[in-house]
Amino acid sequence: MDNRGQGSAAPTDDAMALLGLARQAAVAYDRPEQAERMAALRRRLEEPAVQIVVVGEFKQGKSTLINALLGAQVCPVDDDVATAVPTVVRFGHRAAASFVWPGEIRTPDVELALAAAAVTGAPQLPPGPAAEPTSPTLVEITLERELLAMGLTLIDTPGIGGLGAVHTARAVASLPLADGVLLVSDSSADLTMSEIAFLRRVASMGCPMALVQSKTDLFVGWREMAERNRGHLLDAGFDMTLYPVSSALRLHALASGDPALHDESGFQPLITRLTQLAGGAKADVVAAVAEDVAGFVDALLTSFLAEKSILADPEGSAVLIAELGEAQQRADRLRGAAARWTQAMVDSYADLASDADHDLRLRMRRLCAEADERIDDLDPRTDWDPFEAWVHERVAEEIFDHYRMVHEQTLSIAGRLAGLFDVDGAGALAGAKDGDMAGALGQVAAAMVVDGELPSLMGKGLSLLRGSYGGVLMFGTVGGLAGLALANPVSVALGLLMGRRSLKEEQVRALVGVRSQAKGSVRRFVDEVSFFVGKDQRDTLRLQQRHLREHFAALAESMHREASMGLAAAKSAADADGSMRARRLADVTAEIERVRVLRDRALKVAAAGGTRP
Amino acid sequence: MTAPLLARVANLLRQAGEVTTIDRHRERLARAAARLDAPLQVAVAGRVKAGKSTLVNALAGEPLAPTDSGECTRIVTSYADGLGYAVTARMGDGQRHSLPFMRGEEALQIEFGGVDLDVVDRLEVEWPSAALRRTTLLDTPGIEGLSGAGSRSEELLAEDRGGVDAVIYLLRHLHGSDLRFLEGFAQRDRLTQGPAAAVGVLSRADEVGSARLDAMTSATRIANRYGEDDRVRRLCHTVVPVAGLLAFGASRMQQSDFRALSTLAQAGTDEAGALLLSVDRFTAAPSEIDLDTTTRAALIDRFGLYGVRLGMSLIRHGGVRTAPALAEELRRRSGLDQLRTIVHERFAMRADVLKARAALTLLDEVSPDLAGRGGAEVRRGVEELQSGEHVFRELALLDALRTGVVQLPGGDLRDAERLLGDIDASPWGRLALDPDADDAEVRAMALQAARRWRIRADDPLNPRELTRACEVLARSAEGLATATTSTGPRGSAEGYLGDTA
Repeated sequence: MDNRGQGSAAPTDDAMALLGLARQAAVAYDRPEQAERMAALRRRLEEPAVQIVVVGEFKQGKSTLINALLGAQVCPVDDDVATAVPTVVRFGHRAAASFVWPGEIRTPDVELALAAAAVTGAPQLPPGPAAEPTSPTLVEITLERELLAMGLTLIDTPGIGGLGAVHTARAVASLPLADGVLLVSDSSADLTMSEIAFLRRVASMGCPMALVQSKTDLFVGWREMAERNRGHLLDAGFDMTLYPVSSALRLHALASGDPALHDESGFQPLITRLTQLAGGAKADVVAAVAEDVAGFVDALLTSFLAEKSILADPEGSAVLIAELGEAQQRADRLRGAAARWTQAMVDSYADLASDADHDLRLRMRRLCAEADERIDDLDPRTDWDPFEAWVHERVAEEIFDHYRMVHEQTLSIAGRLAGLFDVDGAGALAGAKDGDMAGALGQVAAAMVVDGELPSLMGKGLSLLRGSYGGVLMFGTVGGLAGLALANPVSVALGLLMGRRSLKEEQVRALVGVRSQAKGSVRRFVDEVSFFVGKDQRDTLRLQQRHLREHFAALAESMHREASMGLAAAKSAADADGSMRARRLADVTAEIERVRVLRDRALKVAAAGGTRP
Repeated sequence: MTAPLLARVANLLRQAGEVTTIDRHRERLARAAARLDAPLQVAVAGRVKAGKSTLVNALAGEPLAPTDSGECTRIVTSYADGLGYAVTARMGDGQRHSLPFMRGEEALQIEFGGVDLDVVDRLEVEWPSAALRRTTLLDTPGIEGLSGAGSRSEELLAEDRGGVDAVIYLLRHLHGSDLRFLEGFAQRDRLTQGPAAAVGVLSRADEVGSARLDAMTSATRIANRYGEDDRVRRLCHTVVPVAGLLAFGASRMQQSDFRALSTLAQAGTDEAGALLLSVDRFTAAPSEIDLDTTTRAALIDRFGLYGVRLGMSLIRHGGVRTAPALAEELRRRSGLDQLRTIVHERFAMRADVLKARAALTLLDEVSPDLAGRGGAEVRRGVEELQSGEHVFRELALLDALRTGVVQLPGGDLRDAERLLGDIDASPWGRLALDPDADDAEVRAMALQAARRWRIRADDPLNPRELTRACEVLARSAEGLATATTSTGPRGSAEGYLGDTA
């Protein structure tokens, strides 16, 4: 594997080291819940951060592109058979494959050859855990590659525009995962109307995209083609980069180690861009993690400073102790079911649930009406296949928009809760009178939610299905993110059957009868989809609400604990006698020094992570 | 049988032309009547950059259609045999302009002067050529192109306007839009909604699998798979792989090309291999092989990467020693011969049936508007022809079998399709006999087939349409049997029209 395009892993290493220290500090100062939190942050740092979805019409060289990027035969390539099941390739210390079936059931440790067979939709698969679907919704492959280690996850998708009803829809369903989209179109022909239409759809979701013009090794006029394609993109109003590449040359270059060949392959600019994306996302995570650590350290510092000021000036202790007591009470008010944010959360989610339900029903009803109209214009006995493809595509679109609506609402709820929490919690721990530290901790909660996580989520455009999956990105670090989201209800819905067989056998019956039968089967299909999606949506909202509650409750708890410990320390400091006081003062001063060093380090990492390449 | 059918159709067209009161219809009827005597109009259609113009050139054997990179065909252009060389622009308003042109190295260079291309309806190129004698080729703008010119092709084929008898449809990989397009063409054919007049071509077959040496093998496999797909089967006759550039290159091969390829073949494997890694390397990289970059660039232009690789390997390992031998071998492997056979045998041999059918479709459309006794006569005539002529029933059945409206088990299905002349329209071809089979054999086989289908037809458990299908099949076989007795050796059976030369 070559070392080209390797960004520095240093910020991540720094952040890791920082987390290690912070965790030690949490254990040493008896803050077990913080120690746990540091461990969670560590897992988050290890998660792949950037998902690149590779899309395009079939037989344009999508799978080969991924293979060439990674320098490994990960995605099966064949002259004839095309990719049928999305394949997620991410980092892992050993090469392994697993299947994800509808309902998020996993079959780990599948043989790689079998995985390849599944990707191309080969029929000789052993039956899955559920009786019905014969192919997994997703194949996940882990591989030890530097490009992946940087946090890139590459997703190979079935070609769009083909004949398989499910293929286009599957490709579309995987788009919400994307932090970036690569459209692959080979050098043999200009961009087509359907490709431009597809780009429009991607653009509407606001994630960055680029055009990869593949197979430059095969076509003499590839430069002119690139020029024309740039023109087409401009004409269509897209401001995006075009990368002419030859996967074959890159694979040759990797095998032979010939740098000139590698330059010719045109891969370098593409890899640089991907590295930047990965680096940028990683830097975001590093910054968020470091800020989190800084918040925790600030809290520690605040307690120590309070204690120190009492030790140094016992006469003034009464005022300070009173303030600390008040802060503790304020923190206490944030706990429990009576807190304002809890009330607000329960109300907002109840509203959202009914809004979502209504939205879904409205969409599906509209879709059924549209389908009815179409059926009236066609003969279901002969035109069923394209019609079915259309239904699948429309269903995917509607579900997608539905999730986007719900997702946007949840983001705004989370933001509002964070605001409430911030206002009510402000000053909950502002007992200490050390100028620069005053009120610092009150902001921590808000900072964690607002600065650290939510905006970057919004900035990423629409990570819809991810977000909706129990807010995995928002508050936690759940392994196999992509796996989860790709086994999403859209895929499940698309796996449902539409009763085509019975229709095809109806060769003799009158057209009117066949049409009404067709309408019936569309309706049943849409019903089932609604059922799945509705159920998923309710579960998701419940899960999200729980996550939010746990998140804020934990915050309130730790603020309260911090305030209590500060108060206790202050009280014991006030009660301490002379010699003990002197000894404790020395200790605390030393601790403050230590904690300050840690804090500086955290701020430095945060700053370094914050400067995007 | 040929003459009466065409004569009757011509007669009906004339009658309808006299009766109709609508000018537009009269004009179309006159055009259809003229077409009965004209060569078969074969449109070459497909998505943008599918290789339509290259294939037109390969079929015509001359560099006529421009094949630059880019979407170069924006106007429907017909290439027809003629007494002299001429290029005419037919305008939307019916006016015709003669255009000056030059014979170019790569394509015909037409000077449009002040002619506004947007209002040109069609370009007509007349070119004395043996290859165009029996078929007129129509090059069409690619569908799905960003210029939007493809809508012209869809108009051309979806309506009768263009007078297209058959379509060679080029696909690179089967795309949803390909099926939609073919469906449009099939729907036009209301007489027998069917695939009979279209053949699919897996074009640019040399580029399958990164132009590796086994590209054509892969392409054949893919074409077969497409050909067996139900959705494709009901839209076109079959799918064959064709490497148009290779075929065209082979037809123009010069001694200098052969020398250049030989030089490559004699060079060291590593040296040649390094050059053949990519087109950029081949056309520009320095090399110890004694070929300048201009020559190399010309080779690639002419044969494509696959053609160069294949040519080299044929010289090196295949024992090919001369330019003509190489040209022959490349052409053979390009798949063009197979396509030609289909065009000439299936389309041209059935040209009369197809033409009659196209005319009847038009009559079918026009006749409801015909008034009076004359109108009624035309309608009756059309009906008689449609129901009486066994060939139409054969075509209709063929289509019914392909679209799955009539269902037969696999082996029976193949035999039935063959008997209907789907694979080879000659009597021995229909009966799966050797071309050398003598009349007695043909007759015996035909009678046997007739008996077989009669028995099938009598099965009381059959659905009605199956009984009818078996009757048609039996009748075809009987026709073959009687044809051999009545017309002597190599005669034509009823329903089998056209020459066998």
